[in-house]
Amino acid sequence: MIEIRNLNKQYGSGAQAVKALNGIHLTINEGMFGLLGPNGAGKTTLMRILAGIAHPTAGNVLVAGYNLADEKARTDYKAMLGYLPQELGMYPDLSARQFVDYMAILKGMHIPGQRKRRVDDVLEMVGLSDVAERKIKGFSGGMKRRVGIAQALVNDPRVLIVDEPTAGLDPEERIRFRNILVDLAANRVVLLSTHIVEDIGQTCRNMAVLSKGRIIFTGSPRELTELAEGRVWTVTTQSPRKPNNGLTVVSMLHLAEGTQYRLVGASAEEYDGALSTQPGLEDGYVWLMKSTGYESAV
Amino acid sequence: MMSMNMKTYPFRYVLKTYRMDQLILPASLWGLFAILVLIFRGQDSAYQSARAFVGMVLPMIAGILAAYAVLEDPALELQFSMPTPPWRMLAERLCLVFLVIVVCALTFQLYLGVIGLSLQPLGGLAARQLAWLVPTLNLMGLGCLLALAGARSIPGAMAVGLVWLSQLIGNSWFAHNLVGRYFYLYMGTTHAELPQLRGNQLVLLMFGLVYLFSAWVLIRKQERYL
Repeated sequence: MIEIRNLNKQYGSGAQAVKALNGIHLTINEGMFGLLGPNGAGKTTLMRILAGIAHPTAGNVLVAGYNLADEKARTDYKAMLGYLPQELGMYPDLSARQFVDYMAILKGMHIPGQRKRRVDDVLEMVGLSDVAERKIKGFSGGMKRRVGIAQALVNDPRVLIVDEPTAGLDPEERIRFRNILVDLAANRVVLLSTHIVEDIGQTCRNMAVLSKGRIIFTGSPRELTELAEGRVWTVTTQSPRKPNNGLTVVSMLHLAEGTQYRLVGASAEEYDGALSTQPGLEDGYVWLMKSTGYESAV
Repeated sequence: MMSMNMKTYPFRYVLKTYRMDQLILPASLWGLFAILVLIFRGQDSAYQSARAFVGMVLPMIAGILAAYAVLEDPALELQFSMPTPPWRMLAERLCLVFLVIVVCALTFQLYLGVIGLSLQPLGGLAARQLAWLVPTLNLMGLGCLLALAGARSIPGAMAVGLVWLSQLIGNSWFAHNLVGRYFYLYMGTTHAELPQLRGNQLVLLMFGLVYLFSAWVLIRKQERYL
C-alpha cells in the first residue's frame, strides 16, 4: 500500500543543512503501523511527506499507486487521505459538526444528504454526538483531538495518518483514542506516529523505529521486545545513588526494603541481588537505542 | 470512498472562518472617509478625501489583507492536506479580499453620488474604476508574494506599506520620472491627465500578474509555511 524507497529530506543547504530523513526504505501494508522515535527523529517530516504536504529531497513514495512526486497525483491522493497533524489547528467559532462538515466539503464530498449522514456517523464514532453543536473553543484537548480524528475519517480514507495523537491527553482519553484507532485499522492503513512506546505496544502489529532521520528497526512490537531479552534487570538497594554503570534506569519503585530499579544494559551482575527479568516493549526500545548508539536520544 | 459529485463551494464556512479584522479594517476606513467627505462637503477637500480613499487607501488595504490571506489560518496544515490544488486555494483567498475591496469601492462611489460628489475629474466610468482597480491588483500581488516568500504575513504587509508610503511621499517624482512613471501606483488618481496613464496601468497590471504567478509557484511549497 505504501512504498517508500531511499527517501531523503534535507532542510537548508551548505553548512546549515539539516538531514531530517536519511535513506528511508519502508513498506507499509493494511492495518495499524506504528512509527516510534524520540522527539526530533524526523517523524513529523515523514508524516508530512506521506500526507503530500512536504516534498522529499530525493527518493520515491508510492501510496496506493499514487506517486507523490507528481502534483496532480498528490492532489488526487489527498481525496483518499485522512490526516491528523501533530499541531491541530481548528476554527474555534465553528461547532464540532460544522468543522467536520466543512472538512468534508473540502475533501470533495458534495452530496449534502450523504455528507450529513457521514458527519453524524463519525461524530458518533468518536463519541461527540451529544456535543456536536457546541463550539470547538469550549472543548478540552481530548475533545479537540476527537474532532480531529472525526474530520480525518469523514471521507472514509484508505490511508489514515495520525501524528502524535495522544500527546497531552490524560490517561483515560489516551486509552479511548487508542481504541478508536484500533477499530479503524481493519480495512485501511493507519499510520500512527508517536514517541510514547505504550501507544505502539497497545495498538500496532507492525512498527518501525526512527532516530536521527534513519530507520533503525522494523518488525513487530514483540520482536522489538525480544531484542532486550537478557538485558533487563531489577536491582533493589537502599543506597541513595542510582545504579549507573552503563545501565539505563527505566523505572524506579519505592519499597519498604529500599528502591527497586528496573535497568536496561548488557549486565548488572556487579550489583548485589541483580535479577534478570522479562523485557517489555519499552525495554526493547531503550536497548535498541543504546545498542545502536542513539542512547542520548532516550 | 464516498461519492464526490456536484462541486459545492463551502461559502458558509468560508464566511464563518473569515477573520473579522479583515472586514473591520476596510469597513472602519470606509466609515471614516465617509464622515470626512461629509464634513468637507462643498470644499475641494471633500473631493481630495474621496479620491484618496478610492485610489490610494483601498489598494493599500487590499495589499495588506492579501498578505494575511493565506498564512493566517489556524488550520493551515489541515487545509494543505485537502485535495485542493494550490492555485485554487490561492485564488479563493485572494478573491475574497478582492470582493471586499470591490464592495467598498463601489458602495463608496454610490455614497458619493448620494451626497452629490463625483470622481468625474478622474475620467469616464472605466477610467474611474481602473484608478483603484490597477493599484489594488498590483499591491495584492505584491503583498501576497512577499508574505509567501518570507513565509510570514508581516513581510508582505510591511512591503505594501513601504511601497505605498514611498510613492505617496514621492508622488511628484514618480509621476514625472521617465521610468518611475510606469511604476507609479496612483497615476490614475493624481495624474489622470498624463498620456502615459495607459502604459502605466499596463505595466502595473503585468507586474501584478507576475507577482501572482510567483505567489502560485511559492504556495506549492506548502511545507515552508508550517
